[in-house]
Amino acid sequence: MNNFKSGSGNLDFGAEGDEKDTQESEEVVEESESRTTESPPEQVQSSGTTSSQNPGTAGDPDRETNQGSNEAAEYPYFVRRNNVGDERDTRLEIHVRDSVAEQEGRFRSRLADELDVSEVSKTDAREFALLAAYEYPEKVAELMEDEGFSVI
Amino acid sequence: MITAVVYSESGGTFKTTMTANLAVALERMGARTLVIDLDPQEGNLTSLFDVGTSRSDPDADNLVKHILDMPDGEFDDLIETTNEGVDIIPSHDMLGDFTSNLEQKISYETGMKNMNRDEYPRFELLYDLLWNEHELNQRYDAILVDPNARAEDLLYNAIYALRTLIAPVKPAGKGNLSLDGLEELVGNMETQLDIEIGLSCVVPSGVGQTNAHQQYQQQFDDTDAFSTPVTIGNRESLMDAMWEARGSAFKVVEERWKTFKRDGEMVSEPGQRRLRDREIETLEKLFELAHFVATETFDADVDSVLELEVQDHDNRRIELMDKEQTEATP
Ligand SMILES: Nc1ncnc2c1ncn2[C@@H]1O[C@H](COP(=O)(O)OP(=O)(O)O)[C@@H](O)[C@H]1O
Ligand SMILES: [Mg+2]
Repeated sequence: MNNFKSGSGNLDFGAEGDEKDTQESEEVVEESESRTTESPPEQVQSSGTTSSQNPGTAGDPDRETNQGSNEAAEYPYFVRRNNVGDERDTRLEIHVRDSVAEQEGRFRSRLADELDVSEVSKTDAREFALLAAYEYPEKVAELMEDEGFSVI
Repeated sequence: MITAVVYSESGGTFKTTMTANLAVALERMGARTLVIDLDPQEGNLTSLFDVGTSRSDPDADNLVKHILDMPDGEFDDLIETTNEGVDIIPSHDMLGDFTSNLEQKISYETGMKNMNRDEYPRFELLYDLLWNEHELNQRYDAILVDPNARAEDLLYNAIYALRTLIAPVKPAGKGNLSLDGLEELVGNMETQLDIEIGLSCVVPSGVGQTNAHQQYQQQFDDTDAFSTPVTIGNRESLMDAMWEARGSAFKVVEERWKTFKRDGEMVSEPGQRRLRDREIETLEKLFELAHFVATETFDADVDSVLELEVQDHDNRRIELMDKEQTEATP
């Protein structure tokens, strides 16, 4: 019964395309797990359990992730999480132009190249793309101005 | 939100019966419930609930037209309400031609967009219809699907859209159980579509008193790979009467439907069935099962009291306690 998660599957309502995000990118997991060996000695839970993004899955025994608050502060996100949905309780829906959506695939594969893995999950890529933007508002402003933002 | 496809790969495992009883149990615990009948064959949920009068009319609007994005009417007009309060999207003959219709659509659209056929999201159409287009999650607390038996487009669409399975199984021969086929199907879908599919529980049904069956039951109790919250006994008379009562086993017992011989002819009538303890017990198990799915699998808030109003009898109140103690109180 390896393929089955006992409990409910992942269902994230109304997010077109987003439902594809939840599977772990194995490479990323392995990568982060190998890093944990250099971290504090306590073992981080293996990624064998699968939980999901659906808030409705609370109560699933598999879902008890190691999110003790101290621990959560100690370990970096990719180390402490078991699953791509962990701690990601907020769902942001964004509406974009087709031309923007189309670039995502290329962005993810370039990102994967940078990280030296074969694939980065959409959820990870998107969250960190947002973080990058938060760090560089000047760059964001520049892109907006390029498209005539200051004209209005 | 409770969403489940009632499916196991082997046929005749009482799927339709189980879907109807689960849906009514959920409705009775306060969950607004919709069932979707994807089986075009006779003896489906649509005929059980006696709905879908236009299921053989090729011109009538139906679910397939909506899934394929060429509706002939309002989506809401497809939804009927059974007399036990459960909503249903009935079956239609067009479900039998789903794949060929889908192929045509794919040819047309991929041609227009100069797209590779393989890139067409052929299993995501029901998902889009239910959640993106009509946001049924806003209107219902529970949605169940009774799929067609064959593992093909419609089934995959159902699993993709709902993500969670309830697997009724029937003891066979030596009582050996294997869910390998189901597991393989799920595994393939998960990798190919990048989704996660959950197994809410396995429900052995039609389990009799013979030794082999008892062993079989034991086998379930011993495994921890999946949950088996209840086992449903061999209840042919009760379940068959559902087809006369046009409703759930709850209805059969409450209205006391019975099929019997009168003047050489078989007739079915309400008000005739004897109240049997083992049948009440079965209702209790069905209720417990629905409660398990709602609370354990989906963490939903539902009533845990089953009120039975049996015709010409005192009302019964069955209260589900914590898992350990399930007590019937008269
Ligand atoms: N627990 C049970 N014990 C004995 N017979 C049952 C039970 N549940 C259902 N049946 C009967 O078995 C037949 C087939 O059930 P059905 O639910 O239509 O199966 P499926 O949808 O898997 O083909 C029906 O006549 C039904 O009344
Ligand atoms: Mg059936």
